[in-house]
Amino acid sequence: MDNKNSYTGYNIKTQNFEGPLDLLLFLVRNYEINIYDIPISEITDQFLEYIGLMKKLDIEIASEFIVMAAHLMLIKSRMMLPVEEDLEVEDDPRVDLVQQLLEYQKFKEAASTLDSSFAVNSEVLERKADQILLDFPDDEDNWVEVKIFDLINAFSRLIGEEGKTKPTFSVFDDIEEDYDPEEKIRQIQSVLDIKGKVLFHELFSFEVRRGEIITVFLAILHMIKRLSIVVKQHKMFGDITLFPKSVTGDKL
Amino acid sequence: MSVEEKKALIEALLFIENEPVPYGVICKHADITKSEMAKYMKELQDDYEVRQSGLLINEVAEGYQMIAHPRFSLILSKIYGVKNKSKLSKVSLEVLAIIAYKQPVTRAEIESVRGVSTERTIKQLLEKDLITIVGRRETVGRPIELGTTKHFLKIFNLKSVKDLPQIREIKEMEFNKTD
Repeated sequence: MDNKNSYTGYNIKTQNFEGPLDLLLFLVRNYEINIYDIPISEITDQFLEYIGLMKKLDIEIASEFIVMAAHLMLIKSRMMLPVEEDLEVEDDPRVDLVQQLLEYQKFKEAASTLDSSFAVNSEVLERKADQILLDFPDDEDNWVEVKIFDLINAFSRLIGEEGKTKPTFSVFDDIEEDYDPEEKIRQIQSVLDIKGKVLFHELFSFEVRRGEIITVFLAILHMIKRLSIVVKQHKMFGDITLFPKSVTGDKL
Repeated sequence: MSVEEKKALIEALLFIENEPVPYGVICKHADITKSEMAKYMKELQDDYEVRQSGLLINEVAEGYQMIAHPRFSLILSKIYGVKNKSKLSKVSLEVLAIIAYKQPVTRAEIESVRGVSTERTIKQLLEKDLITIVGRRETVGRPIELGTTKHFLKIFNLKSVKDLPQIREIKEMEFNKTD
């Protein structure tokens, strides 16, 4: 690749491309090339030139650009191979790339369409949320499923509080303790069997050591993953509550 | 309850709630079918229109929401000092568009469209509650499938996923500028 000599004075804008496809699309559009008949050799040179430029400007080159460059060169070399006339029309090695570019282009447009509906939405003014609403009954409608991020937030609050209230943590606390989430799962399950539900923070109220708190949280995550519990929260009363999965169908 | 009473009840319901009220909730409380609901909503919306109401019933995120009429949005945002809603970056929009149109979609599929790693953007979108994990693909590795949320519909003022604007099919002509 003799790049230095092939510099033809193209003024490639050093805009930030989202990825190799973005750059390729830019090149295709900028040089008014027919996308169904990309002159692979030229495009490859321009692509490499851009990478060279990125190097010069000391922009970190994402590995994806290198992969694409290699891919372009592969296509280029395939196209140089002689094609036997009597063979059925060999697949154009560029077909996949063109498909990919078209697909990418489609979603780039979709993204800008989305952006304009976002602009429309900025005219939507809804009522302020902080009014005190009616007393919500304990209905199914008023229980919403808790998202994993909410759970993580609740957990980090818990860890934070615990750090504040018990600052006398000893570093030796956790040494040689055996924490077993499976054991905790069994415990939580038995509470659920008896009571039918349990509050998230209740599960942590007896735990003193950080390691134990983490174990309980792990146990909860395991149970969610195994679909043995559902975690829900009442719109109004806010306590995160664990329910056994089987019951939720009819009771909640 | 007469039809007029039911319409009035729906109106009251929309007034009380500040978030979009799901179709199902409206139907249940007013004891009506979905097609009846659509009809009543249209009538309510027309009523508002005729008397140039300051309110608007907007169909969004698989429900209806009572909002201030957009013609007052400028004045109102001055009064209340509403901040401009933070815009999404170009990358986020791209990834979101792919997820919206192709859902349920795996991360690998998103990346094959964009040609770049998108892990961080996906994480951001998850945190913003614009997308969510909708399931797992029953293939090797059982990868997570992503889809958009109701919050997404609300943010982009869409009735449902089906309401997404049609993607303009790229015509060959556009690329054949040289021809």
